[in-house]
Amino acid sequence: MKSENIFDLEYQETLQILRQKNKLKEFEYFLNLSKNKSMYLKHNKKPRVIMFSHSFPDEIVRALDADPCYVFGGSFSSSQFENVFLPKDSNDQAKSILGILKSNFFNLDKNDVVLIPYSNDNYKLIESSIKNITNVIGYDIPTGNNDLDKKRYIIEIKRVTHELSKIIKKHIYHCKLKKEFIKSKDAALAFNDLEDLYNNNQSSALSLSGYVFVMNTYYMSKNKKDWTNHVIKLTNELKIIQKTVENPKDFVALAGSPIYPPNYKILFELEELNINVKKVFHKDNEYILMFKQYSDSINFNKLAELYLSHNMEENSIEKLSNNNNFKGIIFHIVKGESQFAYNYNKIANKLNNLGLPVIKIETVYDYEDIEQIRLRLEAFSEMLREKLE
Amino acid sequence: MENKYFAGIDAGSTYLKVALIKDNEVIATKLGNSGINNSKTAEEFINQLIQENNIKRDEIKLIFATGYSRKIINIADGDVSEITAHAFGAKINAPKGFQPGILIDIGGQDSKIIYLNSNYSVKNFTMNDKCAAGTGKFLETCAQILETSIDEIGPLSLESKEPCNINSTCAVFAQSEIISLIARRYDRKDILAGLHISLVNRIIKMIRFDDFSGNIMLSGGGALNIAIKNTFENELLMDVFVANHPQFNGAIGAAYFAQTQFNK
Amino acid sequence: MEKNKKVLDPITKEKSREDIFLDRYLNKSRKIASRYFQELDSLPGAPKEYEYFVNILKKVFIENQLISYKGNEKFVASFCTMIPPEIIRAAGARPIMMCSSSYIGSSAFTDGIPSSFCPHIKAISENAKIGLNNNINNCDMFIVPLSCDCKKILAEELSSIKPTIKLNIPFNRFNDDGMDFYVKELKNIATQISNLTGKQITRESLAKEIKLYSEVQKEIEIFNELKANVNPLIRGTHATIVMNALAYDDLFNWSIHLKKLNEQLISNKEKEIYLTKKKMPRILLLGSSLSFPNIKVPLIIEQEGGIIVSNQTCLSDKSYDNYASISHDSLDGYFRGLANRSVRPCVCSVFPNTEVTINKTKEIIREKQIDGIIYLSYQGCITSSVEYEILTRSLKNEDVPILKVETDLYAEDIELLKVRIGAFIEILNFKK
Repeated sequence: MKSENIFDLEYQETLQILRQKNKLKEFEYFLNLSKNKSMYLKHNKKPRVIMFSHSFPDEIVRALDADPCYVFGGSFSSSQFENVFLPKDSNDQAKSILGILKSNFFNLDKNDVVLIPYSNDNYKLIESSIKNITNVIGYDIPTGNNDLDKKRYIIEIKRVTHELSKIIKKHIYHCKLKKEFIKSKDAALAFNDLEDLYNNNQSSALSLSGYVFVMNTYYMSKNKKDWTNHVIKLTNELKIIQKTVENPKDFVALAGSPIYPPNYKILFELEELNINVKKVFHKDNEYILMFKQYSDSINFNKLAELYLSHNMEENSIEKLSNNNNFKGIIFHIVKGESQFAYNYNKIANKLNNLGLPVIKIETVYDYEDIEQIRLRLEAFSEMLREKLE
Repeated sequence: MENKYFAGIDAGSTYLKVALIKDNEVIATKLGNSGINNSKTAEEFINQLIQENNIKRDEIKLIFATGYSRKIINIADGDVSEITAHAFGAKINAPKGFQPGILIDIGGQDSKIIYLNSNYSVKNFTMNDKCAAGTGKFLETCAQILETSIDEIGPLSLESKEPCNINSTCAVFAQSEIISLIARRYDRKDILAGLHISLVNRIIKMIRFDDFSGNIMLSGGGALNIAIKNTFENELLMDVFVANHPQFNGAIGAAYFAQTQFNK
Repeated sequence: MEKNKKVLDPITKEKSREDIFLDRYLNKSRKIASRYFQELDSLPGAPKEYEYFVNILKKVFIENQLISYKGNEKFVASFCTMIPPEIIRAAGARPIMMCSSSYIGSSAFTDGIPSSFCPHIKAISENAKIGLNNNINNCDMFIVPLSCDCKKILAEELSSIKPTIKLNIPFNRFNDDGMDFYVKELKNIATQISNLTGKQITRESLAKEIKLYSEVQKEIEIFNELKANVNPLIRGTHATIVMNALAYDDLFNWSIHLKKLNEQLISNKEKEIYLTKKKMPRILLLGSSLSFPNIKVPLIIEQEGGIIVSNQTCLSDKSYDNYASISHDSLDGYFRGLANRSVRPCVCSVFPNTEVTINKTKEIIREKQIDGIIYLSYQGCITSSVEYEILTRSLKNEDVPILKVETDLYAEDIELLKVRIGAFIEILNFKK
């Protein structure tokens, strides 16, 4: 289909630019993870369990010997596929997810299972569109973090696990689950080292978009151990090449709606304008790194606490206002993602009063508004220069 | 003591504006249609200013450009974004008594709201450059339909005692609404007053008032319209200032920026 | 601009800037309300008992009076049928529905809320912050069900004004675990309200409230049947006002007057005193909430020649359709019965299982001989747009046309609506 060729082109273009900007030997592995859309295709007859949020532990899916397939959207062209029906108020990310799910290459059918968290209006709507094609398991996510909410979360997770094992006809074993959590912990520690290296050095052979891409590939890899090993190798390679100037003085943070490939237009624009973004507040790295402190025994209570506290929006606002090492914040909001727009309104004044320049970039997946984005980012970099002088 | 002049060029979408300053004072300004070749027009204006004010070309130490076409102005030594330019312009273009708060620039095809710190540096900003509502274009098209000119609509609308309720803020749909209001025998001045209210409300929607201190100042072509100032005051119930040279705020700011760069 | 919460004292020598602003606001909202009251008063065919209901709304919107029947009454502002009013009443407080709100669109008070949001959220937030509506002012607590994205943000906004209870709704409602948690949440609400009023809920008090409520529901059922009579006995617009008044009034007093109204309508039916004998298209009104003063859609429907036979919007018929079924005569059994009633049969568009809505709509079409459906949705409400799509597909075989009306709370797009609704009613007339 013609529109799917456009999707391929969009993805290839992004990968090409990434390759040019990150001439590192170990980076090639990460680029290959998304080659030919392999993260979306079926692999060796393992049942696919499709998720589009971080709220269900993928370790359970792997312990059930199934293939977790994360679809986060991120593509302009997939949001334009013909058989997507979502009202114009809904955001581009949801449209993009539905476009990928319904495309010909994805091949959604009765052997797949889609896990839908009822935390967001758009996700509920995706359910109504794919109910007849595939198996759907919906689950509630409580919005708070107290004891009742934790109990609720645990019961929901166990129920989903039970229904999942019935559909794919597999059992879950305790020792397998334990192994998966250990893998996640190793991955978290490895990624933590990479992030520290990226955050604390003035210039890096790894660009901003490269760093975000490595983060995004965590959810594309089918073999977590492999991914972890390559992250360690990449970190080592960078340590050798890196110019060791510690603690960059003039860096800014990027927050707001998470950015997913192939639509990296904001990241590429920031690099063009030489705005030094070192700290990235992104759902992906929050959920990857939260396993740093996880101990080796399986504890559902602790798991519930981890997942629920990262789900709460108040906590992300806290983090932003407490961390004062950066000189400015860029808030990127995809139009229609109401929670981020609201967070911005709440936090902007607070940060302004602390003397931090904050800028809001509201955009859609379309590439047409690049000039307007450029204007705003240029003004922002001038604000920064003013402040530092 | 040699004279140090600085020039600023605001290459806007509708008009090209040039300003000449010396020692924080505005010496001269010039305005004209942008034309097709912005760079050439800018150069012509600079040359005209040189002749009219009896100065030598090398007395102009630096020329900075701002606006949409700022990067293609050959005669400029550098460029700066409109936001920064307007903030700098506010510093020397503000009337007496203005405490830096918010600058609202109502241009031909966009409108900007710039939040200023007490030293006139930019705290935050919002722009509307995607929609004609809240820009000069809105009033221009309406003035055309009502068979009057952009200069007359301000004083005319002030005569109204009972403004109409205009519901569409969209510039395109407002046109059809005006025609139906005329058919229902509403007076032209009442319609104009309603249009001003609609425009001002659209801009106010973009402003965030939490923690607001200081005053509001208008600049841009829209600020020349006295009814816009009045309507802002009525809707916000506070005094609203108008920049001394409203249309040249950007150009003045670019020139002042040039001056600060030179003095470094 | 400071957010002034005191009620205006009319005898002040010098009005501050905030007072002038609040004055202007009050006058503007009164003007809008009066305009609609005038239109209502000019409609012929109002039964005598209807006066009581429209006076309640006049007291609220024009005189800004609190509808209170005894001193020291405690009020709790709540939303939706997802919060059973029986529980609030048994704990000694009186529920007020917050969805009845007018909207001036003052940006000063909807600062934090993004502009693409549901207009209800903006209106309610504005009403609560501006502190002028005496009925909402006197509430000690807000209860907000977190049923959609917009409500989540509303709950955060409101929690900075008064103590707010956030209620997690089980979207997986046909699952018993979810209902278990909902019962716990309702018990939590009961405890919090009891702390406010000092009155504990007992088995007897809750049983009494459930019985009273079910009797009121019976009267409403009779009223719904009378509304759908073959020859019209009461206008849909007037019926909307009757149901809307319950949002502010006390349940018992309201039901006494509803009973009298029903008696009057039954007697009219026996004497064959109808509003008209002409055959006009019978319309079902579906969708988001419709509350005074935003009653332009029912007014236009009737002006263009349609009859609203059934009003399945939030503050009307659909909230009172379902009785609580109690399986165990204990306090816990009552809570479970109420929890079930408030969530499982709920036809709100926020729930992902749409079969409930589709089945109910099909039944109504059959029972009340519906000729056409008008679906009311607001800009920014994603779930209602999708519900409309699903309904259109599922009701294809019913041969009943559906019109989607997308509007805003205060926008005077009356001419545009007239064109659409007028054309729709013409189509229905031709079909007959």
